Amino acid sequence: MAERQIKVERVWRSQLSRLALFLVFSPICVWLSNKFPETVISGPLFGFDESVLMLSLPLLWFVPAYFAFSCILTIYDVKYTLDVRGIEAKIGILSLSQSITRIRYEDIRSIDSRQTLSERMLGIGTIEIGTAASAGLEISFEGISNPLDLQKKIQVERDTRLRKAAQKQGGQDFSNIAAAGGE
Amino acid sequence: MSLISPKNFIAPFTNVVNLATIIVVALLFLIYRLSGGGVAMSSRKAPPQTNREATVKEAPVTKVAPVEKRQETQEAQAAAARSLHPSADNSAIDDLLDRKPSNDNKKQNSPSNPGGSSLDDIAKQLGVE
Repeated sequence: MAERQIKVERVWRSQLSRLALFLVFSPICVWLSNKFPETVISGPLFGFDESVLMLSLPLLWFVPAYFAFSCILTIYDVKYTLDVRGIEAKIGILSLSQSITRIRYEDIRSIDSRQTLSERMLGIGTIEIGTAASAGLEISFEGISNPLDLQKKIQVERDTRLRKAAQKQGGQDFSNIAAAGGE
Repeated sequence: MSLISPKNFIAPFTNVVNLATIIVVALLFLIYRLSGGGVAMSSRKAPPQTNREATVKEAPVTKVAPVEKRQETQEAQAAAARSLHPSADNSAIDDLLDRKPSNDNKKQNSPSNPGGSSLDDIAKQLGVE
């Protein structure tokens, strides 16, 4: 039976600066490529039988392409997941090295949210989760939408889990005391 | 086909992040095309694999030249022959065939060069003229 998972994604609004550069350089690239045709290089790519695949590559196209691909890489390189057991952060999915950090709701000690002025206007931000295991931060959710709502939900879930654990522990303690008193 | 669900095809367009990614990639491709980029198939000029193929391909071209050259040489020879030996039969025939005004010259030349107007003589003998 598949566990229910909540996937928290990075949003394109978090890459607004690079997206703006992409939109600015795109028409410049088109204009310059048409004005200076020598910047477009052509040549055979590969051949088979009696046919040759010719490729025309505008060199200036790599400028907006760099900004677009950096945005896509930043968004899809991480995966934040909330499920029944805890929180998981996969960082480096499209990179050479990948790190997976997983913590339980009961182990969470602090949940902080950070937003700059522009991020507050766009409704995006960063959530930083710390545990008792380490002095620093364990997981950082960057570039997510509605960080305050997510912070509240994680806090509620953590408090619920701790209350249940305390009730369970308290019930056990009471039964232990009762048993000891009976003796 | 039952394993493929239509939801899997629609899913990328329902998610805002994936939809924005699709739009950005489409824009990138549009910029690539507008900048002059593209891919095209062209036929490769087949190099001469064998000597036979090369000669066959070049044969029509080479055949024409010698014939033309031969014609030119023949004409040059005929002209040279005419200039050197006006009394030659070939020159008389050429004159008959090519230039009519040369008939007067031919008639003038006929008494001195009977060989040159042999056809005229024949015609006279036959009573054609």
